Amino acid sequence: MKKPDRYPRAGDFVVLAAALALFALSALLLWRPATPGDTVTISASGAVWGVYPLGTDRVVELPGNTVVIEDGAVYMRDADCPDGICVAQGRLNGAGLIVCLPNRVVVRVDASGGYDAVVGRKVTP
Amino acid sequence: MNRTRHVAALAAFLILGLALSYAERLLPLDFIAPGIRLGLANLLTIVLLYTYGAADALLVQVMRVLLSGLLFGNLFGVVYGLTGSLLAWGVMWALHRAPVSPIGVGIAGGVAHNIGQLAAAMLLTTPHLLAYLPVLLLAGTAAGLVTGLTAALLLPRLHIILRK
Repeated sequence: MKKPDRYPRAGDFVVLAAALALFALSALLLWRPATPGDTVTISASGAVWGVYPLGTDRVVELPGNTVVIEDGAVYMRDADCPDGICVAQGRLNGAGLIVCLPNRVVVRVDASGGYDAVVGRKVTP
Repeated sequence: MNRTRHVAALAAFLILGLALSYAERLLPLDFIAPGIRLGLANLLTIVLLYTYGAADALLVQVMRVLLSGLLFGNLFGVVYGLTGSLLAWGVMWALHRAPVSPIGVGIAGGVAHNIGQLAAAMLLTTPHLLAYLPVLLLAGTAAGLVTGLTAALLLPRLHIILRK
């Protein structure tokens, strides 16, 4: 059995540096300044459920979640998942995500230029 | 040391792991990223790696994740927990023979844990979850640093009790 070290060793700083470098690299590549959003894409279990304009108020009902688009923002009103983290995520009016992992529901806001078709199911205007 | 004591010790680690993973749910870090956890259970993996060895460390982690899924009822939680723990275990095992103390092992484990969880979540929901990678890497580094430091402080003392 290896006797455990008590004090930091050279390798620790390498690991720390590598971890911070990974963070910096991913941040540079992935993080973009927040822009006003245009489209809301809702997917369930990996497949697109519907794409909606952010500017139109509507309520989208999924089997276990309720998504509301209101006043140029989108939020998760209801969910039957054990944690309810998705509901607590609040309102999203810029590019970003609201995710319900247990139900595999993802609400994505894109600041895209436009989209061809709006597809909805069980939509209440 | 006899087998009864060995089994009892592993059971104690398992329960500790369950307690830790339950307790850390009480601390909501959701403002950082949804569902983010401290990953305190990695502490046990580090300690086990340096005492009873990699096989026992893996066993306890897998059992903890499965039991946690049974008790707190979340199938996808089990999947994410397994991918995170397995990747963390693999990375930590590979590193612990290197000139790295438990601190570095902890950092690597924390980062690997979050990467594993994110990868599973991305496969099961959407690749767009990649947006959370930077914050998860940072949080994993911080949490890993804490667990690594704790393990480094604990091990010289536990080392004597937990002989194989």
